[in-house]
Amino acid sequence: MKKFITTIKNIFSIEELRFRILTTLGLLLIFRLGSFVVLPGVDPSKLSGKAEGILGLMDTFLGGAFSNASIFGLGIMPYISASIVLQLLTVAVPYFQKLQKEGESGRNKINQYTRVLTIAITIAQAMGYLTATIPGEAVLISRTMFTISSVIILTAGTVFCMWIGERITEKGIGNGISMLIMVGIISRLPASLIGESLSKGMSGALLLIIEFLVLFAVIMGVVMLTVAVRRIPVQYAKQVVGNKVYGGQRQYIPLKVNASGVMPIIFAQSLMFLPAIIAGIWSENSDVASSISRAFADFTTWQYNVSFAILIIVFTFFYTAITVNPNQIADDLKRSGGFIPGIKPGSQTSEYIDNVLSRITLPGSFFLAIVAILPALASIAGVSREFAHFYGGTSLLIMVGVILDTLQQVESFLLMRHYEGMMKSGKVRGRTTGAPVA
Amino acid sequence: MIRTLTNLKKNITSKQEARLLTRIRIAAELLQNTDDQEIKKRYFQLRSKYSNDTHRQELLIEHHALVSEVIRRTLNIQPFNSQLLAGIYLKDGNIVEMKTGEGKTLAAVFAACFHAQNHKGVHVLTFNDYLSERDANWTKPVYDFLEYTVGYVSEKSNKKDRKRAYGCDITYVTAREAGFDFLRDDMVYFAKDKVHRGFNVAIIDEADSILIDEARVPLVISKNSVGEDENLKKISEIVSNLESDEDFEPNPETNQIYLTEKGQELIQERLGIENLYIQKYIRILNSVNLSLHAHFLLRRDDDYIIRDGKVEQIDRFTGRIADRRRWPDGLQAAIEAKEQLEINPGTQLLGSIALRNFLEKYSFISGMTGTALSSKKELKEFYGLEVIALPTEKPLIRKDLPDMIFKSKTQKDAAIIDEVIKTNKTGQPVLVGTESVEESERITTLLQEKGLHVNLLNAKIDAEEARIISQAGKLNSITISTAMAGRGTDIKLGDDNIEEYNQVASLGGLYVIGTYRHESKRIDDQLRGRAGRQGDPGKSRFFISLEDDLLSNFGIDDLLPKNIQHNAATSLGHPIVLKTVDRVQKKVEEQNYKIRKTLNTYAEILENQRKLFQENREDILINGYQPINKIGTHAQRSDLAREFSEEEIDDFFRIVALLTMDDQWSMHLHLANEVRESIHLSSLAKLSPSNEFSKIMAEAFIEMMNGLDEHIEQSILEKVLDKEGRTQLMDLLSNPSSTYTELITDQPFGEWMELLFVPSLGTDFKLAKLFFWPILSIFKKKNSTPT
Repeated sequence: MKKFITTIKNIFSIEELRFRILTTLGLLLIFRLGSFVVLPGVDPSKLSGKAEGILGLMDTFLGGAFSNASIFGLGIMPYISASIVLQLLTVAVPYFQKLQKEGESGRNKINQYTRVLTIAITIAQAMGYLTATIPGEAVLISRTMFTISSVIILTAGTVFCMWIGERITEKGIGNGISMLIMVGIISRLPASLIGESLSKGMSGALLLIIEFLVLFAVIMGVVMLTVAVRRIPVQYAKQVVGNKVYGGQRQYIPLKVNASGVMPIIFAQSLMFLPAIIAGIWSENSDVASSISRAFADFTTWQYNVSFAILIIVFTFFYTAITVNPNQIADDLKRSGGFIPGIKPGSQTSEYIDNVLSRITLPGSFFLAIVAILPALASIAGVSREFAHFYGGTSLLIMVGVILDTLQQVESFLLMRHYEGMMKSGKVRGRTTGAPVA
Repeated sequence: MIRTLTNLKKNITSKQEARLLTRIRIAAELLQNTDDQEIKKRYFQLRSKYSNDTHRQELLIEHHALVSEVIRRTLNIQPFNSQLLAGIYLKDGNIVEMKTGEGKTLAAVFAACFHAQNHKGVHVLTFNDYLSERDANWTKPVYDFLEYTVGYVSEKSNKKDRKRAYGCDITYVTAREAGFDFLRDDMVYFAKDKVHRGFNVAIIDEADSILIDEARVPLVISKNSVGEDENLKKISEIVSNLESDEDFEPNPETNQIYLTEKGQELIQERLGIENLYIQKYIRILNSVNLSLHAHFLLRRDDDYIIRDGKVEQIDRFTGRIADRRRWPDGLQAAIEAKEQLEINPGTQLLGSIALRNFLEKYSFISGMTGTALSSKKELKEFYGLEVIALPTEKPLIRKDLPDMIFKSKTQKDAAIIDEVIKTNKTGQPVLVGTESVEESERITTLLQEKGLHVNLLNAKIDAEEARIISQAGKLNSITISTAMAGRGTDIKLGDDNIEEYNQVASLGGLYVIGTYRHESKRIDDQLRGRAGRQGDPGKSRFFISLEDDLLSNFGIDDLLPKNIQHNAATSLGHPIVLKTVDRVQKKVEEQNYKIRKTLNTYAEILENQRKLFQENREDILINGYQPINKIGTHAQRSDLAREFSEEEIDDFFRIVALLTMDDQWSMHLHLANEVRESIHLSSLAKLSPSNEFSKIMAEAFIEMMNGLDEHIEQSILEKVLDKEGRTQLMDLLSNPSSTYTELITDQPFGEWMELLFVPSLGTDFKLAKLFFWPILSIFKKKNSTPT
C-alpha cells in the first residue's frame, strides 16, 4: 500500500504526466456531462426506459447516452463505423490502397475522408435514432422542427466526441477513442453498485461482501488472461565480442494466450440473438420452436450458455488464426536474421509457431468462454442484472484492456522519473562526495 | 484571409529588418574614418556591457556595425546586406537559408564575435576539415583585430593542439571531430586530459545535412577485440558461388537478404554440418549472413571503393570517402573477405553518442545552409529552431526545367549524352551530377568515346577536387561528378576571368544535369544550387528513369496509371508522371522522417543513461574513489604505503574504478544493441516496442549501477592489492590499448525499425473491429494468404 501511495505521488510529481492526466480527466468530464444534456424539445420523463438487443449492446458502450436522448446520443460509434468503412476501402479499392501506401500525407487524406464519412453516417443514423428511441409524446415541439434541430445537434455532438477522443490521444494519456468507450462502460458502475447494495440491504451484507470478493477474483483472472504470454526464445546470429555471447534469454517471441481479445465474445453475442428470432417466427405453430425461442431469449438458461460457450471457443480459434499469422512472424524473423534455436527458418519455423499457438489457444478459449458466461452465472446466483454485467463479458475485458494500455504509458513516464531520482541520489556509494557534479 | 495576414506580418518584419539594416549600415559608414585604436576601444566598451544586457537592439547595431567595419579593414571586403541579416538571425539561434555563393563564412563571423563576448567559447562547426582550417585562417585577421583568440581542430591535430584550440574564444571544427573529442573526454583517467571546456555556442554550417541527414549517425569510440571468425574466408568463397533467387532472396528495397531452404542445405553440405540453426554454429551462421550481405547487396564503386588495400566507404550524401567510417558487426570484415584483402579484427564498443545528442550539449545552436526551408517542420520539432530564408543579394535567375523521365536507364543515358553533346557545341559549361562512382565513370567513358574532353570528379580522385571545380565554370567545360559536387562547392563562371565570365554568362551560365532524384528534395536542390550563383544565369534539369533505384524500390509502378506506362515510347513527359515522381520522393522523405523520429526515442533512452553514468564517473574522476567495504582499509593501505605515496595510491584506486566503469558501460552498450534487435517482436503481444526497450534497459541499467561498487572493489583486489595485477595495470597505463573513433553506418541490414511498423493494424481500429469483424476477416484472409 505504501508503494502504491508513493507511485501515485510520483505520478503527480512529474509535471508532464500530471498535465496529461488532468487533461484526460477534464476532457472525460466534459464528455460525461454532455451525455446528460437532453436534446432540446424532449421531455425526459416520457422516455421509454431501456434499449434492448443490439441497441442495448451499443447503449452499454455509450454509457447510457443512447437511451437518454442526450446530445451525445450517437457518441463516437459513427466514427468507428467510418473508420471501418475506410479500412475496408483501403483493402478493396485501388485508389485508397494507393493512398495508404503513400505514407504520412496519404494517411492524412484517409483521416480526412474518415471525418467526412463520419458526418454522413451520423446524419443517417441520427434520423433512425430519433424515430426509434424518442416516442412522439416525448417531443414538446413540432416534430419536423425537432428532427431538423436534433440531427444537427447529434451530428455536432458526435464530431465533438471525436475531437475529445483525438485530443486525449494527443495531449492526454491513453488512446482517446478507447478511453471514451471505457468511460461509457465504467460510468454504469456506481449506479449498479448502489442498486445492488440497496437491494441486498443490511440482511444481505455478508452476501454483498462475498459478491465483492468474487468480483475481485474475476477481475484478477481477466487481467491474467489479458497479459498471459507464452515466450518462444529466439536467437540472433551476431558479432561475438571477445569470447562472450551476450544474453540470449531476453530475446523471444511473445505469443498472447488470448490473442483475439474481446472479439469472439462480441461475435458470439450478436449470433445468439438469432435462434430466438428465427424460432420466434414459427413459435405459434410448433412447441419445439417456442421452447427454443423461450430458452434463447433468456441469457440465464443452460441452453443459451452452453451454445454461447461453444461458439466462443470456436470463434477464438477462428479469430486467432486470422490475427496471428505464423507465416508472417516466421518471415519477419528470417528477414531480421533471427531464428528459433534448432529450427530452420521458413516453413519449419512457421509450423512450429503454429503448433505452439494452437496449444495455448485451447486453454485461452476455455477461459474466455468462462469469462463470457460469468455474468449469467452471477445473475443466477442472485446478483442484479446491471451489476452482473461487471462480472465478465465484453465490459470487463474492454475495461481491463484499456486500463492496461494506459498503465503502460504511465509506466514509461515513471521510468523517466526513476532516472531523475537516481540523478539526485547518486548510486555509486564509493564516491567521496554526496553531491553530484554540475 | 489568413494568407493576407501572414503576408502582412512578413512585410512588417521585413520593414523592421530594413530599418535595422539601414541603421547598421549608417553606423558602419560613420566608423570609416575612425582610427583602429578608437574602434578597438569602442568594441571593448561594448563587450563590457554584454554581460549586463544582451538583448538590446542598440548593442546589436553597434556590434555588427563595428564588426562590419573591421571586416572591411582587415579582409578588404564590404559585407553584403544578406550577410549582415544572416549575422543578425544567426545570433538569435535560427537556421538561416542562404543560397550558394552568398558568403556564409563571413555571415558566421558576426554571430561568432557576438557570442564570443563572454569568452565562454564559440564553435563554428564546418562541413569538413579542409574548411575548418581554411575558414579559421581566412577570418583570423578579423578576430585578431578584435582581440579574440581563434583556433581550428582537424583529424590530424594532437591532443595538445586540440586543447589549445578549444580553449580559444572561437574554434573552427567539424561537428564529428568535436563529438569524438567529447567521447574521448568521457574516457580519460586524469581530469587534466580533457580537451573540451564545455559547450556554449555552436554555429553550424550546412546545417540541414548535419542536423537531419547525419544526425542519426552514431559517433563511436571502440577498441580492437579478438572476435574474427577463422571460417570467414572459406564461407565468403562458398557464398560467392550462390545463385540469386535460387539459393537466396535479396530485397534491395529493405536492404535485406536471406537464404532460401535450398541455399541453407547447400551451405550445410559444403561446410559439412547438419543444421546451421543451432547454438553451436551461431558464429558460422553470422558469417554466412554477413557474407551474403557483402557479396550481393553492397557494390564496389557504389557503396565503397578499394584504395591502398583498404575498404573505404562512400558517404551516400556527400559522395566523398567517409573518413574512418566502417560497417558494424563484422560486416566490414566480410567485405574485406569478399575483396580478398587483409581482414581486420572486430571491435568492441566503448562509447557512443548520436550526432544529434551531441549537438544538444550546446546551450545555444544556430546554423546556415542553402536548403532548409523544406525541412522547416523537422528542424522545429527536433531542435526548436526556426528557419529563415534570406533573399539573395541579386535575384536568382536560374531556370529549373521540369524533369525528363524515361522508361529505362539505357534511354536515359542516351538522352544525357545527347544533351551534353548538344550543350557542349554551344560552349556552355555542363555539370553532370551522377549517383555513384560507377555511373560517373560510365558516363565519362561514353562521352570520351564521342571524342569529348571530360573532367571526372569522384571519391577515387578527390585530391584534384579543387582544380576540377575551378575549371567547371569555364567555356566548353564538361564535368562529371558524384554527389561530391552537390554541396559546398562554389563554381565560378569563367574562373575569375571577366572576359570569359561574360562569354559564359551570355551562353546561359552553368547547366546542371542531375541523373537521378535523391532521397530528399533538399539534396536535389543542393545540386541545382551549383548553378545561378550570385545572380548569375544558369539552368538545371534532372534526367530520370523509372528504373532508378529510388523510383522502382518505392513502387512507382503501382502508382503510375498502366496506360501511360505502356503507351509511352521513350520520354514520359506527362504531367501525371512528373507528379507521381514527386509523390514517390515525398513518400521516401516521410519514411525517413518517421525512421529518424523513432530512432530518436531509442537514442534518447540510452542518452539519459549515459548522462547519469557519466555524472558518477566524473565525480570519481575529480574526487577519487574510496572503497567502503573491507578492502582499502587502513591496514591494506599501509601495506601499499610502503611502496607508494598516498597520492599514488589514490590514483590507483581512482583509475581502477574508472576502468571498471568503462568496461561495465561497454557491456551495457552491447546489451542495448542486442535488445534492440529483437524488440519489435514485443508488438506481437500488443506491447509498445519502445516502452519495452526502455523497461528492459532501465532494469539492466539499475542492475549495473547497483553492482558497480562490488565490481570496482573486486578489480581493486585484483589489480591494485595484488602485486602481479598491479604490474599489469601499470603496463596498461603506460601502453594504453589503442582506440578508434569512427562513425558506424547505421542500419546496414535494412531498417530494423521497419519491422516495428508491420504487425499492428493501428490501435484506432482495435475497437472498431468489434462490430465489423466478419466483413473485415474476409478481406484480411484474402490478404494474408501466403504468396
